[in-house]
Amino acid sequence: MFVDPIKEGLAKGWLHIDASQLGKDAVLEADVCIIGTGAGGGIAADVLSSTGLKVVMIEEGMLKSSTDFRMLEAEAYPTLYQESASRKTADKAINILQGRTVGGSTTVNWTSSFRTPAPTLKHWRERFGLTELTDEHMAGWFKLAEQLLSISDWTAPANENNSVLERGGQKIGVKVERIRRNVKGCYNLGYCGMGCPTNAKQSMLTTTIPAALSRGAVLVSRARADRLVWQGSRVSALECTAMRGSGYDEGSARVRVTAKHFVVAGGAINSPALLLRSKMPDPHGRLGRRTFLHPSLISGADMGSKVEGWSGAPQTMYSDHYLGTQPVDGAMGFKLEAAPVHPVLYAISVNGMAEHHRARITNMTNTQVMIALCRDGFHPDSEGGTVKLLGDGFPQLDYGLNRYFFDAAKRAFLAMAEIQFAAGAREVFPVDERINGYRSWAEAKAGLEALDLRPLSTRVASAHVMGGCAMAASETDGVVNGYGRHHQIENLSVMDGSVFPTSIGANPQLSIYGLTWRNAARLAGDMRRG
Amino acid sequence: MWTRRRVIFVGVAGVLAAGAAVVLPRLKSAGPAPAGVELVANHTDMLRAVALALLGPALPTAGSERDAQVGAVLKACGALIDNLPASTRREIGDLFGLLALKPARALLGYGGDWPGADSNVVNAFLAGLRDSSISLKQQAYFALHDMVLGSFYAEPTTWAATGYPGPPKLA
Repeated sequence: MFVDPIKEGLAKGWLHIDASQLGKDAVLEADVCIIGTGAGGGIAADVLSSTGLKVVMIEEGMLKSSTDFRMLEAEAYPTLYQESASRKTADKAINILQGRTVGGSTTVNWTSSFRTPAPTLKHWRERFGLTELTDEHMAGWFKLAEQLLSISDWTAPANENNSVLERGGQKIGVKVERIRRNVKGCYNLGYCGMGCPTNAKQSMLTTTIPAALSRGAVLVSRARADRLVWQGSRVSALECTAMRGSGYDEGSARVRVTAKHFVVAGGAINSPALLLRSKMPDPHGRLGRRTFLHPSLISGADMGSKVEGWSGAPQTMYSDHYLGTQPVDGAMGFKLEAAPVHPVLYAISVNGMAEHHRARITNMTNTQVMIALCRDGFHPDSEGGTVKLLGDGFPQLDYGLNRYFFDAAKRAFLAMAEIQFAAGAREVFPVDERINGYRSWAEAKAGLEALDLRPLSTRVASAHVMGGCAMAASETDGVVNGYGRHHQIENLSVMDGSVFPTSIGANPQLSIYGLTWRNAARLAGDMRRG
Repeated sequence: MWTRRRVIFVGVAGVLAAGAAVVLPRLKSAGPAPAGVELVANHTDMLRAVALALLGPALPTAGSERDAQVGAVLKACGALIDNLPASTRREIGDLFGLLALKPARALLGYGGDWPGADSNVVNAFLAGLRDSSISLKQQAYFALHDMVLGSFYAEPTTWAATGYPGPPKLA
């Protein structure tokens, strides 16, 4: 039986408040209040608490840990994901997988770890005045995170789902490389997306949050951050509502946190939404703008023999070939990866109904699934989406898919089909309602080139949410500066993926870890000096 | 509280209803977001017909087992809806409300009754929503597709036919 470090820690006296169990209002006081416990909030909590600062962490999701993770989609999606893993953009054309639990998306991600690509940092330096963010400067921060989270080469054989990408890429001269993963003693089960039951994944849940709690930090789960109370240039308090049950119903208790400094780390979409609800100053209209998703296309392939895409490390191979075939700010590039194949996610992704759907799903064992993650935010025609508030204050991302995107989508479908056929696929089915499947590369090429891809019919998904509180040297271009400090409010920082001024062009967790570590270390120094 | 999406849904309902000279007073009431269990209970006939059409040969042909699996899907749909934000629950409530009203759903493409509906006819109706150039009709199709098929394949009893062995046993 595996130990559960969270439950052991709680038994030892870690300070955790489940706000859904509060019988009355609660008031907390801290040096730093961190809102959100994902990649940004987790690193910030660790770095800040290690300098002796008193930290309170606020999380809307539940505290679930390894012994709760039973590798069942029916349990994982409603309890660990935003909107039961069915969060969508305003026109419902993009489905967003984003975590909503202690540890945020790091609790449910597929462990892929990439440093921020050099072309991305270069673009930020040139376009957003972030001149300090050189590869050399950031390397030290990435290295710290890599050491803490055991990020290293994955040396075990790739599962067949990933091997198809490698094999097909080799056949057509497309370079495919191995993904580094944040795991220690991984059992190679394939259920990273449902919470790691063996504690092998070095997520925030198993590393930084326990470190902060062991230093006396307080964790409040099931508390929704409603608004920051501010006056002049300072925030005085955070007001939260306790949640009830596992979903979105409100409880009756309120939680109020006063602190010297506030770190917003709710992830893109939720971080800008909190600042919007708080009516934070936004003199240049940057808040909630330029939210990016790596909008992704899906291509299935019948390989004619067992793939068993549910088994084994979900992502171990990638190709950046199509990111480098044109300039970063030219036609939209895309990264290729494999995606795990489990019944619910697969059943939702497969097009059609009745006989057609059934035929696909009864062949799930032999099905390989490839995804193309499009790099958004580098071209004038790729402005991303805008976070808005619904009448009840709930956020909604309005992200229009335009011709610039669909040009990339078509190239991505073509690239994936070519690779899948080169690897031996008998049939390839790019996920669009109008495609029933192609039996050869020639047929796929002709069919795809004739097809006018469009929102909804072409299935688009995202697991990476970035931007909305962009950093920029000048306050006219961003919400925060290069250290995540709010341009107008002096004791407010944003430390999560929402500070990225473009998408990353790679799975973003390590980019968030490295940048947050740097910015939290700077904040700790600033606070020490008063 | 009225959301923009809700206004659009009701707007479409209004346009559709105008042609049939029907008012849709139920859709115009604000108030708390509906609960999933309640929504499913109020729309069992519609959801059952849609589930039978979407699932087709995935369901056993025999009566009692077939009923049990459809019942499990409807129950899971209720649980899913309960874990969605209020704004989404309202949208789903609006959609179900439209499908419940014969004149409204006739304008969407299905004028028949839900109890005992012919699955082939319901399939054609769903395909019409899917292939429509009107975004809201497509959204309705995807909402039903994902809700029903996701709920069905979440059940371990459905896995054998997919080849999925279920999660590994940990020592």
